[in-house]
Amino acid sequence: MTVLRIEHLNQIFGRNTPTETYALRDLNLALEQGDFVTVIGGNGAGKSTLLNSVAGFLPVSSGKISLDGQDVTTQNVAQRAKMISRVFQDPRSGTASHLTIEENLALALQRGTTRRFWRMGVRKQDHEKLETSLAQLHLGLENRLKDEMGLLSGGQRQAITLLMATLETPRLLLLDEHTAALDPKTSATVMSLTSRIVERNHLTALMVTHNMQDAIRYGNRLLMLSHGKIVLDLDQEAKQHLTVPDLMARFKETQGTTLSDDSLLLS
Amino acid sequence: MMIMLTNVAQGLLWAIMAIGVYLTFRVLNIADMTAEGSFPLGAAISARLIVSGSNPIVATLAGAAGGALAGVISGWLNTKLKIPDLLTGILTMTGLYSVNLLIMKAANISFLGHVKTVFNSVSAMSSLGGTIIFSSGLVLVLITSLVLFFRTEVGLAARAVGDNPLMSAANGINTDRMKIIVYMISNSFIALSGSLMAQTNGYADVSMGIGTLVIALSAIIMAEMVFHKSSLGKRFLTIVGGAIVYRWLIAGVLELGVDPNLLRLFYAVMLVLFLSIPRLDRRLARFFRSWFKKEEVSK
Ligand SMILES: Nc1ncnc2c1ncn2[C@@H]1O[C@H](COP(=O)(O)OP(=O)(O)OP(=O)(O)O)[C@@H](O)[C@H]1O
Ligand SMILES: [Mg+2]
Repeated sequence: MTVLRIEHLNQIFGRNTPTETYALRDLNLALEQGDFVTVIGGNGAGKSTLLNSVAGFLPVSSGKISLDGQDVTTQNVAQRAKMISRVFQDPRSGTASHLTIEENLALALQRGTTRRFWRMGVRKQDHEKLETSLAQLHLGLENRLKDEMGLLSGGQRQAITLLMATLETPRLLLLDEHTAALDPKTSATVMSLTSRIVERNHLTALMVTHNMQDAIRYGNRLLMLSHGKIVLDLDQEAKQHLTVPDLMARFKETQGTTLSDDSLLLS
Repeated sequence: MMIMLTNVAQGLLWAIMAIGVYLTFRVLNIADMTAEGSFPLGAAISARLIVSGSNPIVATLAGAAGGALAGVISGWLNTKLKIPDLLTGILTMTGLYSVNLLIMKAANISFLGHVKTVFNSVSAMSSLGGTIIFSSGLVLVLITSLVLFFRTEVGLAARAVGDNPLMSAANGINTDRMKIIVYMISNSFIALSGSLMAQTNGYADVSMGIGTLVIALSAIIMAEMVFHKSSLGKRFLTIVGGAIVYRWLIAGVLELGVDPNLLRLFYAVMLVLFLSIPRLDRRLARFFRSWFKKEEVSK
């Protein structure tokens, strides 16, 4: 079953201005149920733009985005949140600093539902569920439900954001360099946590990373983006035999060709 | 002593307005100047209705409802038309000036004669003590309802929107709806305060809104200076304290024989002082805090 389908997606910034940028060019992509796709590419390749377009954060310039066969191209972020959850690069982005851990988690439990005046924001009956899921992070946070989010470290916040994104199983999980702002050790912890959660819940996920090792090790499909296009698309089998030097070589190659393509266009 | 008490009554009414301002200013993180128009709007609607013989309670509620509507308009301009928050407030406030004149059909209405207000319609409440008891009770009820509201799903979502709009949207919160709801509650509180203020003072005036924001911010900043971090409920209570103390300060200044025409200049200078004290001298702020703590103990 196809969870995400992107057809002829174009994202153009600063149209008809001197700084006109094609962040995505006629991009096509389909993700099947259970696909865990890693995305790599140089700075400005369009990776974040791709995720932002899927999440509804950026209105598309042209093209169509469907989730579970339903056209969501014109839906906003909040509407798509019924199906999509996200972890951002900046650990502060995914949680509300002045709310408690418990309140943040409660917000995530209600993702995609209409908020009501007659229901309590934090419910007693959810307490246990929140505590057990926090305990699964092995960060000792289960006793700190009443602590303010702002008190936690970046890694702890990122782990909680990940938990929030999966507390109610999403149809599609978007991860944009979600370990990039963490120190190497914390980054590795959050990465293995990610993989565990994705596998256990059979999630469909799209993960942008700058770490080639992670891009190869995790997931069942690898995409390389360059200048708004998918220039490499490897399936599970092709990925298995891939090494970092291989990938680096392919990376340099694509960067080179597209660059010369561009210089041809410009000349 | 008598002056102190009279000003407690006034301070309690200011507190309702300051809490209203706090909702947009701190909970939503938005600078909403609608207050300067919704305060006299509440007064104008209630005054008009009261002099034409309405039940004072109905008139008061209508005043608050007018404020809610003003809040919805500002919230709508801000969220749907994407006009920056500072400007939406200025726009609504400017428009409301004419609306208030239309409602009052004059620049002011005074309750001469035996007009019934919420404060004098029940004989037990017409005394100063009665007024203070009524106002304190009302403030407590309002604070309790706000605290309860902010614990509901909608209230929690509204707080999240003020804290982190990106994360809120990503969690499926309709951020525009939440903002409009808070704008609405905020301005209904401010208008309610205006309505009650007109009824205690015995008149409503189109220009009575000038200075509303500075007074409210002063009360809020004073509360925050003394108590840095508080839960929402405690914060509301400290704002009540801030509003009363601020009112005393003003009364003290008037008592010293300062020209009332200079009052608003004084409001402004005071707020500048409050805003700069924590910066200029943190020790002074700490001193104030310890002084307040002693006060509490000695009570
Ligand atoms: N809001 C915007 N306005 C104008 N240009 C933008 C905007 N967002 C992105 N771009 C441009 O679109 C291109 C793609 O940017 P994007 O952020 O998607 O890259 P990326 O692959 O995520 O890069 P990085 O690895 O640095 O995060 C870049 O040239 C960028 O400058
Ligand atoms: Mg990026």
